[in-house]
Amino acid sequence: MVAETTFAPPTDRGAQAWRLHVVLWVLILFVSLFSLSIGAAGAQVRAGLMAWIATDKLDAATRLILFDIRVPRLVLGLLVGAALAVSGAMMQGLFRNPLADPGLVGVGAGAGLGAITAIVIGATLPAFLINALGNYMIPLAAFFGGWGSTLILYRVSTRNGRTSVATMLLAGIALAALAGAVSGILVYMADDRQLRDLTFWGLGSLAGATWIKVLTAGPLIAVAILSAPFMARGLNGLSLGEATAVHMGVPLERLKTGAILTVACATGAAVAVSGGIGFVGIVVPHLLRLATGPDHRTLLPNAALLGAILLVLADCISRTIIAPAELPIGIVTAVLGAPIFLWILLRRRGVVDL
Amino acid sequence: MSVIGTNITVSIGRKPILHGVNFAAEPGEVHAIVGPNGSGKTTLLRALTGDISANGRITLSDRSFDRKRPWEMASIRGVLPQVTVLSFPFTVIEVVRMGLEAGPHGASPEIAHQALRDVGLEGYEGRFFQELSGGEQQRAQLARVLSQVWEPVQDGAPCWLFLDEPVASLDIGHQLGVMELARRYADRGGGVIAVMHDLNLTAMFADQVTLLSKGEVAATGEVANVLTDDLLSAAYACTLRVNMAPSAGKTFLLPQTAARS
Ligand SMILES: Nc1ncnc2c1ncn2[C@@H]1O[C@H](COP(=O)(O)OP(=O)(O)OP(=O)(O)O)[C@@H](O)[C@H]1O
Ligand SMILES: [Mg+2]
Repeated sequence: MVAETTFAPPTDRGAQAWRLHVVLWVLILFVSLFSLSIGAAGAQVRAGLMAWIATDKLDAATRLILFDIRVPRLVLGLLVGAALAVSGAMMQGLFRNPLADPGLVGVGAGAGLGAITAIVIGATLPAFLINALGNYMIPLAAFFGGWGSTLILYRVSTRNGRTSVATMLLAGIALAALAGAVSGILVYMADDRQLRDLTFWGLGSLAGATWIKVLTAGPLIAVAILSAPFMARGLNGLSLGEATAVHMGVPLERLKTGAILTVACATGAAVAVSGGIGFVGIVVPHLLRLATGPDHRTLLPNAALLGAILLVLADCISRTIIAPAELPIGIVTAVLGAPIFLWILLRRRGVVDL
Repeated sequence: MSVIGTNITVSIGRKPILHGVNFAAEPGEVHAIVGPNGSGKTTLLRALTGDISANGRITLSDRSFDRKRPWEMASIRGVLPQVTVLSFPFTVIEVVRMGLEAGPHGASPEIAHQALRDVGLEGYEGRFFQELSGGEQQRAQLARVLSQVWEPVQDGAPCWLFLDEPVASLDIGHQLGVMELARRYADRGGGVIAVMHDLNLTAMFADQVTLLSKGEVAATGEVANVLTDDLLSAAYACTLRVNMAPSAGKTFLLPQTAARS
């Protein structure tokens, strides 16, 4: 005889999730300090910081490393990590499917196409437009690319209020292939200087972090993260189906538009400054759902925090594992994330029949 | 203060499904919609709740359905669909709380537990919804809908339950339990509109019946006037004989006495 054990989650997962929220804020603090003080000039930064705390004086070399290299990179990592995780969680809520991730289903590729278009064609725009847009041109173009591809994906894979997983994943592959092909054509058209820009952009890392990048991506990402909680209740309702969500008072069209715009904002901004970094958007929400449940009111803010933490940690790994060279961060997140993705896939018995 | 549908015509694609259906339900009553498979019961209910667009005029308590302000409807009307698919691992109590927070009683968390007791799911609070049996899932959904419009009369106006086959997947004990819940809701001043397959339960618990056949109203009115040999036999395409239980004075129908035509 085997004793029958039924697994029951704690009845108040909400309170647990808010406790986790506090823990994540503390972790962010530690991870940030850790990230500032490791790597090539780590010892110097540590010593400099100690001296700063002790004597209130910061020497010029440390100041340069800290405020022109380390801090912008840290802030960008936090922003991009939060953006990737929140857009993943939003997209999964919208598509009612834990496998939806902007990077996997072609939204990232669409945003990438937008960014490449801006780099290659952007120079031919009228001068006043270029001046007006300034550094925002690439992130904005990436936003529109991500928006377009999310819209197409939603139209293709959702019928009568139901989303087919198989159609979504296949349509995502097709979209990514199409975006990749058009991007390829654009790369052929590019001149030498644009090619250099493209190469730097496409590295998919936080290596080129500057305050300018932080300032261009920051506002879009902030808008996305701050507006996400307003859609949490609607996304909860949506998990019961579109018709039921409406009967529970969810303004469906507004919710869908809002969620798609948020996903496009966050993905577009993240792709524009860091290229494509995969799997954060799938792994983070999944871990949080396992730990404290799928309620979007806590899932979305916690995803932002955990995504930021994980991406900064991945960046630490990418900087140190083959030092003095640097491993692209996308490789680190893929090595960590792909097995988890497969695990989700295998645990769901019928992906086909959803 | 009633639900009124006038001349409802629905086509899905090119296919006409409802042809000029007139429907009226009053608060304080259980109104059953019956009819054979494919006769348009679910379609009628979905037209009445605004899920699908329909030609004709549909009003609820003198208001027509407004897709732009669904939360107003949510506070006076709960809708139980024929089946519900949940896409994330919420627990039973979390699902019921979603309903509660969608209605006007969000500040009274004890209602969620009371609703679960009412549908016989006490002790299931922490279970995953997706791991319940079909009948248990249907009852958990009913608890969600009940807690959304917990008071049958809110601010002097009646609230409504729209139920699509609320007892189809339940055992006989819970069928009676759920129908008694619906009955009590109506007795306390609320309105209940339920799609039913079980004609005996309909006869026991409903006040009014609308019999649909091929997308048209074959008959509507009080139970005794609609559940008759002729009307049922014509609608269900087999010879049915309705009986009257001597003690309870309620109509009943035995499948054993039916003859295939
Ligand atoms: N989405 C759809 N597309 C095309 N035809 C449909 C659709 N939904 C329903 N129908 C058709 O409309 C008719 C009425 O369907 P409806 O679901 O209203 O029947 P019902 O009375 O609820 O049946 P049941 O007792 O089986 O639940 C059927 O002939 C059905 O084939
Ligand atoms: Mg039906």
